[in-house]
Amino acid sequence: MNGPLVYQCSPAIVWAQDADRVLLIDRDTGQSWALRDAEAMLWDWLRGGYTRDKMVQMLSLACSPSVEDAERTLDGVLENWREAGIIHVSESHVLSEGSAFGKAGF
Amino acid sequence: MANLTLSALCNQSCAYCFTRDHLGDAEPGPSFLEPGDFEARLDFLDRSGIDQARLLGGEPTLHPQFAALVEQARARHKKVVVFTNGLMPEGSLTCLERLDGTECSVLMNVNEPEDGQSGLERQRTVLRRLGEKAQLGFNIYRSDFQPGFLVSLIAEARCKPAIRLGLAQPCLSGDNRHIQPNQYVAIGARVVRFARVAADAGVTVEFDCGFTRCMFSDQDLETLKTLGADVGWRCNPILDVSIEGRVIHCYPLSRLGSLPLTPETDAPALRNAFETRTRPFRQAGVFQECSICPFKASGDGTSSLEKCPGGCLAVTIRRFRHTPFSLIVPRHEARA
Repeated sequence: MNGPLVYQCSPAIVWAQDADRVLLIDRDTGQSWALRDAEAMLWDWLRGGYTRDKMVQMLSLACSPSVEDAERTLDGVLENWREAGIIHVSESHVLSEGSAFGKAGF
Repeated sequence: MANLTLSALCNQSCAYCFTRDHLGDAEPGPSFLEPGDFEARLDFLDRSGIDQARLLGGEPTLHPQFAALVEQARARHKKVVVFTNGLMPEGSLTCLERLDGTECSVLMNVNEPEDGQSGLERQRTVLRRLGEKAQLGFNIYRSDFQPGFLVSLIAEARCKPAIRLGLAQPCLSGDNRHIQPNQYVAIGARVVRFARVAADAGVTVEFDCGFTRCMFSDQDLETLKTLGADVGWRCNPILDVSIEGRVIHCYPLSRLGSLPLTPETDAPALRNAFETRTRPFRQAGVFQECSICPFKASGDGTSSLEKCPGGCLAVTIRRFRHTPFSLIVPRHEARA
């Protein structure tokens, strides 16, 4: 059990970009989250397929004075999102491909 | 309010038809509502305290027992409201002709003559025969719409001097022709110009659901008020009851799911269930900027002239995406 950890978006989570936030909704539970600032940036980077190193580097440039602070921020956000059910963590490389909405987005 | 579907069939094929998902997704089933089931629908209206039987389709007047169904509704003292394209069989027209304006009203949707859909002559005839009981409806599905013919049609047919304007909204699949939000402002300007022309002829315009406040400048809004237009920003569960006895939020949102119409169900409970289901999405609107708009209503779908729900929920929901990203982190780098 020493393989890498894989953070994946939970299948029920949908998102939309608003003017001042990224709005996340869990379609199964109706729970929602408004992501702003660093969280919104991290969400964009995750969607964009950035590596952890790249996200730490960019976060450090954008918000934090040090790489260590950026790592702590990233890890803290990922942990919060895992606890909230926005993402889940596994040791599997098998990705959950495809849209949760079926045809044409919903 | 609730609409009862009588027919899954229609004798027109409008490019913008928003029943496309509902009728397209359905298992092959009956084309028409069973007359016995119509009694159950009327029971539902009774226990919901609804005094109108709003009949739609497809084309509801194609139902072979249309006249009998209207009679059933009248026997329950319901005002019959028919949503039609006007291409109705003679029997259905005769039945509606016999009712007076307190017993029946007909909203007839017409398309521009240039759309190539035949039938305007029949629609003219039907309008003339129904007179003041009939009102025209017009769906806007492109920004260069030309509604001028409606004013002369009203004058000629002597029907109700009002026009219900609808915005062609997308089904969740997006398979129907529909207006994009970036066309709203241009459409708003054209609506105001048309409202002036219509007012000169003694005709008022009314808004169906899905219009947004930002389609109009403050000055244009004042103009519309002065012209007596029935302006409003609405988006809420209409409750469309299918032939199979399932209730949906509205046709564009049929893919949100349906609820069964049981002998105990009433409209407030159904509306509440749909509002709960859609509430998270009501935080957003059709535009990204809705989240910072001072006129955006809180999200329960109700609104006033000063508070806008953010447009059609189908448009809003279509902005949402699921992105199946994955981040692979070597174990020594991860804290989780």
